[in-house]
Amino acid sequence: MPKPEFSFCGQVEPGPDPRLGGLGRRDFLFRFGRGLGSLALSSLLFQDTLRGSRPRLEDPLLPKAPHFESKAKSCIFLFMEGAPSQMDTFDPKPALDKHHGTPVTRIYGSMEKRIYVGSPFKFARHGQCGMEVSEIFPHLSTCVDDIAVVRSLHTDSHNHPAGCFLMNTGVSIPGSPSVGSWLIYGLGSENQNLPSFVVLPDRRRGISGGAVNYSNAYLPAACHGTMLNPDGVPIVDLQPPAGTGREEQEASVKLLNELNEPYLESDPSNSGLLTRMKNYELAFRMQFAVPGALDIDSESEKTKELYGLNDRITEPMARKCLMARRLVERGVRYVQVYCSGWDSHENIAAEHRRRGYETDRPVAALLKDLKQRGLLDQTLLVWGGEFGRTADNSMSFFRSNPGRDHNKEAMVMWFAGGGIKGGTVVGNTDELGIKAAENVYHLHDLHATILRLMGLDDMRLTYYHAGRLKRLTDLGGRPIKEVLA
Amino acid sequence: MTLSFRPLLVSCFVLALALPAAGESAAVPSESEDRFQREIRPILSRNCLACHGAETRQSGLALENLADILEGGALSGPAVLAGKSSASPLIQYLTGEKQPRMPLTGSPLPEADIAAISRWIDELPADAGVGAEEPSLSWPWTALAEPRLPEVQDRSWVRNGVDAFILSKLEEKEMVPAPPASERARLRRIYFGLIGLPPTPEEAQRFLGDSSSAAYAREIESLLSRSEYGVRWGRHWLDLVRYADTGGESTDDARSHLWRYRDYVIRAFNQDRPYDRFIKEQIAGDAYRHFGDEAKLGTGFLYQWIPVQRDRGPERRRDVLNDVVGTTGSVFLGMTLGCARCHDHKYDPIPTRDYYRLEAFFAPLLLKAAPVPFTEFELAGRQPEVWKEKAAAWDTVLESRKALGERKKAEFKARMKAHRSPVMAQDLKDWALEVTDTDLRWAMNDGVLFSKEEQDLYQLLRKQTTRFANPNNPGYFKPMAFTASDSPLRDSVGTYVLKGGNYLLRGEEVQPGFLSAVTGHSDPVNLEGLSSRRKVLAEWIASPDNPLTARVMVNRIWQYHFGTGLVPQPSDLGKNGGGTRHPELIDWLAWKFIRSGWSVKAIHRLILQSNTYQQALRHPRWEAYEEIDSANRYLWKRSPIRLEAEVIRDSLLAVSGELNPLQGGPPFFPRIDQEVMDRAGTWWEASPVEDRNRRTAYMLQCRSLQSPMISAFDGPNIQETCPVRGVTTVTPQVFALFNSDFSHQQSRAMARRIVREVGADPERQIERAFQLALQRPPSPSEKQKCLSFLGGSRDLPGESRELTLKAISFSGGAGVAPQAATRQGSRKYSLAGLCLVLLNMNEFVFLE
Repeated sequence: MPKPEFSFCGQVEPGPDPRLGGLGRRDFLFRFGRGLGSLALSSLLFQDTLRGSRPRLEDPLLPKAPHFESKAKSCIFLFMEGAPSQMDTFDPKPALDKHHGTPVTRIYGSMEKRIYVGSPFKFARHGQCGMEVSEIFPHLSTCVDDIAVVRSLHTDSHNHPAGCFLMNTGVSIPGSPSVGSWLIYGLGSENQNLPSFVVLPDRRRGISGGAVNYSNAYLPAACHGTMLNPDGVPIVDLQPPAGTGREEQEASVKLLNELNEPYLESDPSNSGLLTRMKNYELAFRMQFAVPGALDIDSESEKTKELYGLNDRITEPMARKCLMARRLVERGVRYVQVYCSGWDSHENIAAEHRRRGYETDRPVAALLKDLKQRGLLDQTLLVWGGEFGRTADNSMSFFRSNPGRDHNKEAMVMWFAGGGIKGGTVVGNTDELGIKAAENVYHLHDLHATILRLMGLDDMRLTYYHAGRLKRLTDLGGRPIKEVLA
Repeated sequence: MTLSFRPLLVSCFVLALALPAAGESAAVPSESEDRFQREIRPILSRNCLACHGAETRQSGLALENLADILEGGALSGPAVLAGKSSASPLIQYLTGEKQPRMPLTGSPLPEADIAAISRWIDELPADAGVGAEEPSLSWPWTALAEPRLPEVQDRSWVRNGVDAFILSKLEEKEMVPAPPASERARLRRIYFGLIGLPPTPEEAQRFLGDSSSAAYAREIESLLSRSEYGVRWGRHWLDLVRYADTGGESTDDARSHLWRYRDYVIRAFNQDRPYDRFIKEQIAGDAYRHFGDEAKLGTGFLYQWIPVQRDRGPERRRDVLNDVVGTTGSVFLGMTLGCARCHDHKYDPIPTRDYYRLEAFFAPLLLKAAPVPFTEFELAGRQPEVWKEKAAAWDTVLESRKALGERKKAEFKARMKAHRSPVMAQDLKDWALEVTDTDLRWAMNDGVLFSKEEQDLYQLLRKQTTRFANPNNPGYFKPMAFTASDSPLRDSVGTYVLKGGNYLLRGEEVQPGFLSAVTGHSDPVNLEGLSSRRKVLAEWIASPDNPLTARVMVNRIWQYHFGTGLVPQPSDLGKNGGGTRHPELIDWLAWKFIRSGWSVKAIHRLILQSNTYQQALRHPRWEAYEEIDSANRYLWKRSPIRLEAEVIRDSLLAVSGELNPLQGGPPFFPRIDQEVMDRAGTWWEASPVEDRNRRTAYMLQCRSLQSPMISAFDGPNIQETCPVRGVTTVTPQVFALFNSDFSHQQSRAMARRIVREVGADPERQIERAFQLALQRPPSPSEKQKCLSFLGGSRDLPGESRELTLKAISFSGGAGVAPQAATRQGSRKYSLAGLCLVLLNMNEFVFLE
């Protein structure tokens, strides 16, 4: 059985060890050491040879066996940044509509007089399961039999950055590894020519809290998230500056390998030397692999139409959803798609409707497209924001255009795809949707569920850091059993 | 009077007894415990601890340590019967003899694992675990005493105490050290190790001409006296103290005076300020009047927490205290105190109560920006009046930008109001009468109502009037500093043990007190008549009697020279830090450290002059030795070091000749791709190029966006204390070093430099390039390969300088290059291209 923690180092071996260890590449060196220069650019030679040897320091990106059998191999996290409202999306609250306009005095920051806001949207039952979905998601409503909604989640913070850190890393302060990094750490990568953890941002604004949201933090750097720009150059410096010909580049890599070769002799036990050489070839291949993976122009007109690429308003999300499908198709482990702008303190009727319009068709298309390609089974879809929204609103906004404020006590998320029991609704909030009330789950449970669906046990996926074994779920989470198929 | 430290005599005795018995790892007390930790615990940890950990304890059973195992659980009593594996419930459950078979979830353990546990049980002595209740204090908690130098057989190898300790352990293992490294390797080691820059060809030539041991010692002295030394070693310290020029989190506001702390640290290393004083200044510089303003800058150490948005004030206060106490414990005491915030430390003798007793020293702490005049050191080589002018000028600019921004916004909103409906798509109803800032922002994104120019102007104004705005932000030039003081209410601020670290669950009130494992008691400190609690703590930490302080620091110095500390987790000298094979060597260095007046440079001399340090990478018997000690913890050879991010960047600048040696002052703002900045939600204007060509230690340390090159090469995690840099090999390193504009600029500059220095002859160019980058001539075959890369063995006679210069820049677009080069007659690829290759060589980024 493979070791789940490849660098567990409690009392065994302290890590991270800058000495790169023997790696048992001796055989390889003896056999191929001489001819390396001439073998430059000859693809995966190293990799295959290495598999046969006895690696002491594993390449963290090599695929690893999961803790459990699992259907899902990849995960697409649709991050609705800004926090969508539960009672305007998947958690209808008719009682709240009756309270619309009723004042309530409570603490929101300070004690203040606030007004209840009914949902401006109509709900209807859909699918065989009869799930209730808001009118802002007409396309998604046709997919409810593949979706499991959890209405009873809660989190620890109702501030955007802390909420995003919690959702992405399980900790409210920056400095912990992201969910994607944990997955790479636990499972490795299926495609060595592409980054295995990809973030597709919203072009309108950065993620609240910045790059630490997709950081590997203390996990090995190979587990870092890579932000791909969906609109222009996908990765900065993926290509050399304009004016460097491909032929020159090839010649440079070849010369570099030739000059590096004799230096291997300086320390045959230093695996870093060989890995570095391999990386120049890998980087060279990535120059073609990454743009190829993102080349949505090559998709059929029908597919483009399905995603909504031809509608100016849905185009940005459509582009990212389509890219996400192309990436998981190529074995990318974790793709995060951001859509920001859900922070509707004011005028939720217009703002949530607009966000709904922007995302509904692309997201539904992604689900249908994956399904029709037979990929839905091995892809886990997760949809949600960093927290939920309040049932009430401040007086001033209510008078102009009612909206909803931040609420960490209740939030809604949904799952679909590999290992998920579609058509399920889990848990409930109280009558007005203020607080998770039945079958309550914490964010750690959400993380435990994602890991479980990807074949990992959150208790066993650990890394030794700052004096103890760290986990994504801290002291552990409880997988949401009801959503598991 | 209560004692601050255990009486020395007793502890000396304990140490003398404990060391020989402890064998390999002094941090582990007994053989059975040791074996448990090494062999058995990893198996249990993988399979069982999720449910049978110290906290989970399903059915009362914990398998965390030997004592817990022997105590057993509620169902079956002791889990292990010493010497009787088949009768031990642990094995019975694992094999399925008792039901339910364990582990409850997941597959049964492999037979090999069960066999290993059985063997361990069978060989467990009957008295195992006896006395485990109250383990005697082990290294590093024991008092420090001067260890005797061990006897060794091969005395000729011993240059100083370092070698004696290393060699005696090697001889025990019947190993011999590696031969000395080449002169060039040793020269590169001390240059990169002490100043973080490669030797120039001239410096290399000087040394390689005379490499007597006197010359080596002279070279070390000269490096220690160079001001670049402080830049290099100050950066190590900045890693530890989580230094950043911004606060982090979403607002990530500039901490525009913190650079003065960074310069203070660099200055302290350059002056070889006694480490005990360095500690005092950072924890309580405000309380030492006679240290002057300079010491106040030291308390910048305390002002580096991340101000997370919290719902309640007390939570924010907790963030500050957690940060300060945890960092103080890790940095100075090498203990993961943070663990004890929520529960008694699981591995080291630190009860939760001790954590809060230490926190009580910081209870009255107030942190704020306050005026501190620039000191004479900071102003050396600077023009204060220019700074003043800059500050004033930028104040004005900011004001006018803000005014313009407001005017423009009002204009835009007015237009939106007039055109309200077209903004919305037809099916979107409920449009508002008032135009809010949010509306405007979204409308700008839509770009229907506004031209591209207006959009750009709007974005620029937004950026310029928020956050960093500019490298010339007036804050950077004001004589202010982040300082610490004590609240006048200090005596009424209570500190309570918090259950699980939760500020709402107050337990017992505690008074300031030191770690009980060190003092031997948990009496409160007598604070009567003392002005500053922090001063009391600083005095205790910086005392020669504190068993941890000096040990921790010498281990760190060792780590930065060798790549790995004698204790591999330098901020965790406790049981989890990996232990050490060389507690006596650490003690000897710590002893010397204190006796030298806490001189860091004195420790450098001891380490660098040892034969241990000067060993080669390659050992004639490396294959056999790898089997014995693959991690090289006995130091039978030198391990290679991959240079850190900053050193690689600085070396590029040094070799290209573009390095700007100016030290100190506000940070420079690196040029980062606009895309990357937008995505990170941050923005700044890059500094002028000559400013950007300064040492990387002066680069803006922005918590929400680390320079991609720095982070690719495992730059420090600047969110928290970073005791060890990672060493990874990932493809973004190639993007940063092979493809980036920065690298290409440096290779072009290097090519220009070479032409300037040796003219147009390709052979001489190649030789110079190797000397600059690698401090050695190319081998004949290397020269041949480089010549053929450049195309043609020799330039045509009479080739003009102009043509050569043309060839420096990279060749044109794809496919053009070869033909064009052929037509030109001599050149194929440019000299700059060759330089880029050299700067990407393994030999350039690895230190032998």
